[in-house]
This record gives sequence, structure tokens and C-alpha cells, in this order.
Amino acid sequence: MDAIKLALNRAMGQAYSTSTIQKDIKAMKEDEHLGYMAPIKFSKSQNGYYYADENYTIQSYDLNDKEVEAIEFAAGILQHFRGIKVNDWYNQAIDKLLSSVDIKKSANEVSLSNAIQPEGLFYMRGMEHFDLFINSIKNKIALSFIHYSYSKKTFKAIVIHPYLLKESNKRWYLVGFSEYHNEIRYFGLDRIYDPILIDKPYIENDKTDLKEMFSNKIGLGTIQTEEAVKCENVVLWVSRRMANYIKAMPLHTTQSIKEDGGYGDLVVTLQLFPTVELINMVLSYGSNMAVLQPAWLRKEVALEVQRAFNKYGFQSGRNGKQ
Amino acid sequence: MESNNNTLLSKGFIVSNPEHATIDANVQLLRVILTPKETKIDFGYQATSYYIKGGWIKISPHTFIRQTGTTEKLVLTNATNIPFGPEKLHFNSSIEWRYFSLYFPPLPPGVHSIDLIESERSSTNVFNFFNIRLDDISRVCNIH
Repeated sequence: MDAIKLALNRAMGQAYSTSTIQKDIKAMKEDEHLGYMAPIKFSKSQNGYYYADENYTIQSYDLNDKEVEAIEFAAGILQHFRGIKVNDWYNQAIDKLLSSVDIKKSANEVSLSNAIQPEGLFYMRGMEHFDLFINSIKNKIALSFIHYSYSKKTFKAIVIHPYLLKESNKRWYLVGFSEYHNEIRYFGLDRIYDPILIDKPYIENDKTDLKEMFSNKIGLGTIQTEEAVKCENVVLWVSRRMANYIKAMPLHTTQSIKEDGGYGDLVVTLQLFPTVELINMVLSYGSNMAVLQPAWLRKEVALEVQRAFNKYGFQSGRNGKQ
Repeated sequence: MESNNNTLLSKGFIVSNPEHATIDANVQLLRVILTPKETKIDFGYQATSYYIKGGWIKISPHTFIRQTGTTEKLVLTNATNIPFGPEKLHFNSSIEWRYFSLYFPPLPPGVHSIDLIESERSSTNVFNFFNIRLDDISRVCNIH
């Protein structure tokens, strides 16, 4: 025991009591959640602990410090998603991963999980079915559920052959072939009720490239108009004030930029399906962004700006005074 | 519906969006789930703009189902997401909705269609559904 204490002190930079070490050894041997189930024995003749299986190690992979740091970084990001009721095993798996990478870290080092702060994930209604949906996708089992449409204010019983769980703008969607619609559709998890696994010959997706289906959209919200049905060039004007931000972080992977007039303003072209989220994004930049093309989208956004202005009760042309 | 017999011995089956007749346009009968243990019927209700705050819903504890054309009643055993009358669930606005389920004893095998009756005195304020078709193969699937 004294030799273990000494080794720990050297490696971790602090002293540990005999009872702490004994508890840890017990946990390594017996704690199913920790999962080591280490074959640790005590040798009276040698007065020390040893692995009964000489090949046993608690580290399945021998990682160097840089690799451990990289995993700790990833584990730190994952830790920010703890507490979301996605999966019963999720939190436990993260804890295990974090405790594994912690082993190689001395007490004086700042944990990377405290050094990074991503936005995290908010719970949304329907995420409690995550496990069921993953199971149905993995095992190719069709599902029956009730869907409520926020826009149409109607319900439908849907039979879906699920392919994918898709996250977009912090909302999760179940993507699959809907028998009712006779095509691939996506349904917000927050609008899905009472999903049940059903026995039906599974309809495979062998026609649609799902990656491509979503790559040419910002968000998944459908604009309720006849024009928003095809992928097209959306041309935006961006003010010089926002220009550097847009250059540094493109609005979409298809973004191409032209300088406009030599004062720093930009003309940005995106090739995508116009969506509700695209309109919201343009509006979020206020007077620093405007739609130039297509004309129908320019009008749609202008009308929304007008409606928003009217909500404040000012009359235009009077400097905002009532 | 003879083809149901085998599935009733196992986990049961689901009828999605079954054909039926009703008067109340705000309530939608969505799904019938038949198992050896019970008959569960799922509904969606959209609050009505007729009332400023969307109105209310409740279900009579005397609600029953019967095989269409017969008189033997299977009375409501449970309800989720909707209170038993006289208690009411009041909506806060006309944009609200409610998904709710009613539970009845299991149906015998071979039933082609059922009626769901909240009150035999016909009115637009009661949830009455007639001739709910359970035999349209295109809408039926087994529970996994």
C-alpha cells in the first residue's frame, strides 16, 4: 500500500488515503457501471496487489498524451450534453469516458471540459423517444405514430419506414418514407406522439441521397408558398459592417462572394432551397442584410419587415414619433 | 375480420386513420389499437376559434363502443390526456390542441366495424363516431 501511495503521489501530485485507494480497488473489481471488472488479487507472500490475468489492462488502447488530450476535448464537448434524456446509457457512457481520460491527468491540470463551453443541447419534447427511433432505424422496423402539424393544425396517424434522425437548428427530426404521403418526409420530434414499432415489410431508401437532401437547405422549415419548391440562387446584399463576419463564417457551404461597389459591402450568392430558417436568418441581420434575388423571396422578406415594423405602432416618415 | 384472429393471439394490431362518420369537426379519430388486453382509440382535438379561449373538452365515463349494428356495450375503462366529465379541460387559446386516448375492453375477433358513443342523444357537443372500419387491410398493421 505504501508503494501505491508513493506512486500516486508522484503521478498525481497529491496524497491519497489508504481507504480511498481501497475503495478504488474495490470499484475497479466490482463496479459494473465503471465497467473495469479488473481481476485484482492480493498476494500475501509479495504483500501487494496484482492482476490475476497478466494480459489485463484497464486501457484498451495505449494512447499518448496528445491523443488523450484530443479525446478529453471531445469528451468535454459531450459532457455539455449531459442531463438530456436521450438515452439511459448516455450519461453513464460520458462519465466513463471522462473518468478514463482523467486517469492520465495530474491534479494541477485544468480539465478541458471546464475550458470549453459549447452552446449545449436543450431538451425538446419527443426526445424521450430517441432510443426507440434509433432502434427502429438500426433494425429497419417500421413505426406507427400520431403527428400534429403546427401549420395545418391537424393530426394524422403516420406509418413511417425510418432512415435517419436529423438535427437542424437545435430541433430533431425523424426522416423516413411516410406511407400516408407516399414519399420521404421528416417529422419534428416535438410533434410526434405515441410511437409504436410495427411489423410491416421495411421499405428501403434506395433512391434518395439523404445527405444531399439536407445539404442544400438552411433549416427544414417549409415556406408555405408555391415558389419555394426548388433549389435556386439566393442573392443577398450584406453591409460592410457585417462583411467580415460573413467572410469568416459562411452562411452556407455554397456561399460565393462578390465585392459590391468598393465600400466593403458584399453581394453573397447561395444555392439552396429557400426555407423559413433562411428568412429568419436574413431578418436576424436587420438592416445589414437584404434579399436581392429571387424576386418572390425579396417580396416575402420585405412584407415580413413591414409587418414587424407595424407591430411597433410607428408611422413611417416621422422619425419614429407617434 | 377473420385475418385479425392470428394477430389477436400475439401483440395485436393497429388501424391507422380508419374510415368513419362523425359530426364534430374539431375532433379527429386517428388510430385504433386492438390487443388481447384492451381496445385503445387515439384522438386529436384542435381547440375551436368559436370560443375566445378555445373552449374545453371532457369525456363521459359512460362512453362505450359496440360492434356496428349490435347493442352490446363495451364501456370506457380509462382515458389519458382528457378528464372524465363533469370535470373539464379548459384550453387557454384557440391555437391549442390535445392528443388523447380512450381505453375499452378487448373486442372479440372478427369485428369489421365499431361505433364509439359518448351519448346516444345526438349533439355536436358529444364525441360520437359511427361505422369505424377495422377491416381495411391497407390501413392495418401488426404490432411488433
